[in-house]
This record gives sequence, structure tokens and C-alpha cells, in this order.
Amino acid sequence: MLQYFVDFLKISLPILYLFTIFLYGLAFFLDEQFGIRNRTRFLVGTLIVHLVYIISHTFLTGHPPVTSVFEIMTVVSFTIGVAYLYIETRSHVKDTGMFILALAFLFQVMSAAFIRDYVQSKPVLPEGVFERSTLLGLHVASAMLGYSALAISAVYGGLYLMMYHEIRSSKFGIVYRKLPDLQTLEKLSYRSIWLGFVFLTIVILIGYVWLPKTINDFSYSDPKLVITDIVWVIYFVALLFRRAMRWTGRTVIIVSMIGFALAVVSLVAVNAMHSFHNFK
Amino acid sequence: MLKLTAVSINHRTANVEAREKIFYSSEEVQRISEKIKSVSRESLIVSTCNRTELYLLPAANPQTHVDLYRFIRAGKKLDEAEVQADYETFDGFEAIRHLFSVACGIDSLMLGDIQILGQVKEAYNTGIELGMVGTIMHHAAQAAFKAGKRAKSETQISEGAISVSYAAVELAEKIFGNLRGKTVMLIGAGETAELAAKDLKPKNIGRLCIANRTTERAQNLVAEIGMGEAISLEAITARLAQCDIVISSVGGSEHVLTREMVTNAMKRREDNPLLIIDIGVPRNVEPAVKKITNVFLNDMDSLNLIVTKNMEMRHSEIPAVRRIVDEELNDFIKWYNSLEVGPTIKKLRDKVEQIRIEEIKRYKNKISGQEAEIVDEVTRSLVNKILHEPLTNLKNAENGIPLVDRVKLIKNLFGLPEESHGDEDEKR
Repeated sequence: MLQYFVDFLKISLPILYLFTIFLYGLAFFLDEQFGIRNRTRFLVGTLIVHLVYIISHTFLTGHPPVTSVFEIMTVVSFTIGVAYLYIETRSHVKDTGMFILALAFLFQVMSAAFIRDYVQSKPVLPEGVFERSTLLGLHVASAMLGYSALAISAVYGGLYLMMYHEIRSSKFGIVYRKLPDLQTLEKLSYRSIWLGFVFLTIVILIGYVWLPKTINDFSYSDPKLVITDIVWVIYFVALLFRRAMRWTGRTVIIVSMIGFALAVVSLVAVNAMHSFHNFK
Repeated sequence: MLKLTAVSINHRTANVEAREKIFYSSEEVQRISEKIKSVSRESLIVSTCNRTELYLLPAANPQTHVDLYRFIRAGKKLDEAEVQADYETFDGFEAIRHLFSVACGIDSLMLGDIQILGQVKEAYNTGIELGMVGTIMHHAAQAAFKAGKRAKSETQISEGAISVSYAAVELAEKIFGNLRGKTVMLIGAGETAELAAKDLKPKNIGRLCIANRTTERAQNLVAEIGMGEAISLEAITARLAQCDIVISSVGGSEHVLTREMVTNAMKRREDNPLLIIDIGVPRNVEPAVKKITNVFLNDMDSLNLIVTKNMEMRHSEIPAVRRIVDEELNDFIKWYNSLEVGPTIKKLRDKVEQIRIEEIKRYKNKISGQEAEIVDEVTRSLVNKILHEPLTNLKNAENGIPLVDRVKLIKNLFGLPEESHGDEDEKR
């Protein structure tokens, strides 16, 4: 019974995200009142359903959905949605929702399409480790929040570059009319970079302190570890040079977008290689 | 039918000179109010630099459009030869529709003008103070305010700059967000630059410097704007690095800002964004400046394009605003028609009560006092019960029959007298 319910939510969530994006699109492109009035409400509803899905999934499998890359994707999708809702509430900038939520939708679609059967989904870590270790919880939660923040930062960065190009080329189309000003986009992207960097630092610190004691075949040359370190260094350089070398917002955004592209590679491509981080 | 008559002398019917002559201040409305009140039950005068309109519900004698136009002219002591103006006319609910369209800004010379709603409110307040506005115009004005607010919040009719000078401000805001504390430099003291500076000042800009060939003209402009500092053209290079926004409109064939100057300035300002608006003809800024990172070079064509696109957008919003006007007008018509229900019910009750009393009178001498009391109570209860359902149906808007038809049916069935709206309205 619970499995049917989880399956139903798994299929419903991409549809709900798509409809939410549709409402944000209606408001963005057509200034449609229905979209303007209901987009945030519908997002809240979708996130509640998503939370119910994650909880139900946890009950069904006996562990949180963080044991395979496609389980992780649904949590990343959820945290992107929550983070965006927080940003929207704080900044009152609603016209970027369509772009950020498209990312949440993509992650959820990939998760829903490729997530394995629940009975076969077994964590590679020793049994009971989830219950025993709060450090693992912190490691995984930080990774989710960190990657979500970096994803959001990359989207805001992309929007910044679109707006920058629009003004420089004197086009003044819908991007100029509807997106927030460059300063706001830069600020949103920069703050998300900081958040992502802080969480990534926590992930790496916990990883280096705790993982060698817990995982038998732990290796410092593990590809996922190496790439995460490289991503961390890229963000560190971007933030450091922003202050020390007075890098402009545009430069920081370009560098951080390269960092995000690498982070995605770390999450997807490296999963195919041999790694203790690999949840096959 | 609503017996409202209206005339409008506006930007379509009269030139600016005629509109100026016919403009009414609040004091002038006060002067004419007694005369208008003597021939009307209710009235409203809306007068702005682009229109003067009189809405009037006549008292006993109907007033023609010509009469209304004469009132407007007479109030300003203008004879026909002095004012070369035509006028538009509206009657009944079309006059209400026109008022709503005015409040929404779709009848304005500057499409989507946001000031007009405030001006209609001002006209309404004056009308209230002078006792010109009654139930109908009060309700019409409130509905007009609602329509105006809806048009502003639900559509983009008032969005985006539609003047070149304000397009410069809008462009600056799209780059810097808040303009508080930003440093602005005007090179040349041309009209557009001056207007842009005047539009930028309320945004709480930090500093303004005006560079001009003749320092005297720059000083005059500083005095006119009420802030800033006059500098010579030679001082531009030294000041450029401190500026966030530069608006250049100086004459001459040589470039006032070269790529080298701007590159050096950008180094000194650590590549922070710089907006340069070149509205000079020929161009004041070397086109290669556009290639420098974080420099946003735009010219008069850019500003015109912003204005054109905003105007196109506003025009595309007109159907949406018209829908709002129609919705509010329908609500107004429903409200107006409901005014008839009350008096009809009262007339019906009065008629039935009269029949009841007359019938009781006929048998008064044949029954005792105690029995008379019982008969009175029974007949009253009987009448109430018989009338309850038809009166409920009369008020019920959901039974599919238009309100006007329901009222008409009741009036015909019970032979209730027709009366003009005016008296009923006034009682309310």
C-alpha cells in the first residue's frame, strides 16, 4: 500500500513541478493574473507533497533517500525548491522562479525516471550507520544544501549574464523588462555562492575527519573526493579574489559557473567510476 | 435608464491653448458649483491639463450636451469665439464607462498616465465638499477608483518609462538597482540631460557634477536643479573614475570621452559598472568604449527603443484594461438596477397593506375589539407569508431572469406606478 502511495507521489511530483513552472511562466511571459496570484501557493503545495514523498520513501526503504545518486537528486530538487521559496520570500523577486524551478524539475525527473526499486536500494555503508552517526547526517545534509545553493547561484549567474548581454547589446526585450536589476542578480548569486561554499567546506571537513574511520576502502585519490576538492578550490579562489583582487561580480559569476559545471560532473559522471562514494 | 449626461473637452477635441483656457481649478469649480447644482441633482467636474469634463444628472428639466458645454464655457467667462474646441458626449452608462476609462489612464494623452487617478480623486473630493456629488456619482467615483487601482496592479498599463529622460533613469536602475548615493555627471547642459537629471534627483543620487563649455550655463543648471557642482570640460578626465552614470549631450565633432579615458577610469574604479548615455549629435563618446568590460554605453537610439517598447507594451495592455472597465461597469449597472428593487418592494408592501387595512375596516363594526386584534394579527401574518416568496425571488439574482425584467413583471402584475429614478435616488 505504502509502495503504491510512494509510486503515485513519484509520478505526481514532476507534473506538479511542471505546472508550477507553467504558472511562473504565465506570469513572466504574459503577466497572466492567474499565474501571478497562484504561483507561490502552488510552489508551497508542491514542496509539501515533495516532503511527504521523502518521508514516505524513508519509511518504505528504512533509510533516508541519500543512498544512490538518483535518491540524492530528489533531495537536491526539494532543497532547491525550499531555498528558492526562502529567497523569493526574503527578496520579493518572483520573476526568476521559472528558471530556478526548472532545475528542481530536472533533478526530480531524473530521480523519478532512474530511481531503483525500493527493495533493491541498499546503502553501501555498514548497517545501522545512519542511526549511529549524526556526522553522516550532517555530511549528507550539508552536501545537499551546498549543491542546491551552488545550483541556484549558477542559475542566478546565468540570468545575470543574460541581463548583462541584453543591456550591453541594447536589445531591451523581455529579459530587460522582467528580470531584476544586475545588482540584485549579482547579490543573489554571490550570496548563494557563499552559502554553497560554507556547506561544501563542512562536507569536506566531515568527510576527511570521519570517513577514513568508517569506510574500509577509503582513498584520498577517490575521483569524487578529488573533484569535490577542485570545486571547493575554484569557489575559494573566486571568493578570495573577489575580495583581495577586487574581481567584478561578473568574473566571480563566470568562475563559479565553471565550478558548478564541475560539481555536476562530480555528481553524475564520477558515479560511473569505481569509488567508495559509488552507490551501485 | 440612467439619466447621466457628460461632455468632455480633451486632447482629441481641443488644442493645448483651448484646454488651458478651459481648465478649472478647485476654486473655479466652487464658483460655478451653485449654478450647476441649481439644474442638477448630482454632478462632477474633472479638470486636468489634458481634459475638462462635466458629468451631470439633471434635476427636473433635462440638460443637453450643448447646455453642459455652455456651463463649462460660462464658468470661465469664455464665449464661443474665444475657445476653438470641440467636445465629446456621453450618455447613461456610457458616461460611467468613460469615467472608468479616464481613471484607468487609457483615455490619457500619455497612455497609462498614473497621475490621472489622483486627479479624479481630487475632483471627487471637491465635488463632495461642494455638495455636488450624491449617491450615484459617489458610487461611480468609488468604482472608478477601484477600476484605476486594478488596472495599475493587474496590468502593465502604467509600467515602463515613456519619456526619453525617464528611460535613462530606468536604464540606470536596471544596472544599479537602487540609485541612492550614486554619482552622476552631465556633460553638456542640453534639454534631455537636464530632464534626466531632474528625474534622477528624486532617486536620492549622491553627487551631481555638470560639465559644460560655458561654466555659467552649468551653474545656472545647478541652480535650477537645486543640487550639484559646475565643472569645466577639462575636468572630466579627473572626475570620470568617481562617476557611476554619465549623460553626455555636448555639441562638437570631437569625442569627449575616448576609449583610453574610459579604460583608465575603469581601472581606477576597479571595474565597477559605469553607465554612459551618449545623446549628443554627432556622438560624444568613441564607439569602441562599448567593448570595455562593465561599461554600458547607450545612445539616443537605445533610449528611444526603450520608450517605443514600453509604449508597445502599454498599448498591448489596453484590451486587458478594457476588460476591467467592463467588469466594473457591469457591477455598477447591477448596483444601479438594485436601486429599483427597494422602492418596488416598498410600493408592493404599501399597496397590500392598504388593501388589508381597508378590508379590516369593512368588518370593524361586526366583530369585538379582541376579535379585531386577532384578525389584525392573522391578516398581517397571512400577508407576510404570501409576499415572502415572491419578494425573495425578486431580490434573488440567481434565478436567471434579469433584475430589470423581474422588477418590470412585479410592477405590471400588481399595477405599481412608474416613477423617475431621480426621486428615488435622492431619498437614498
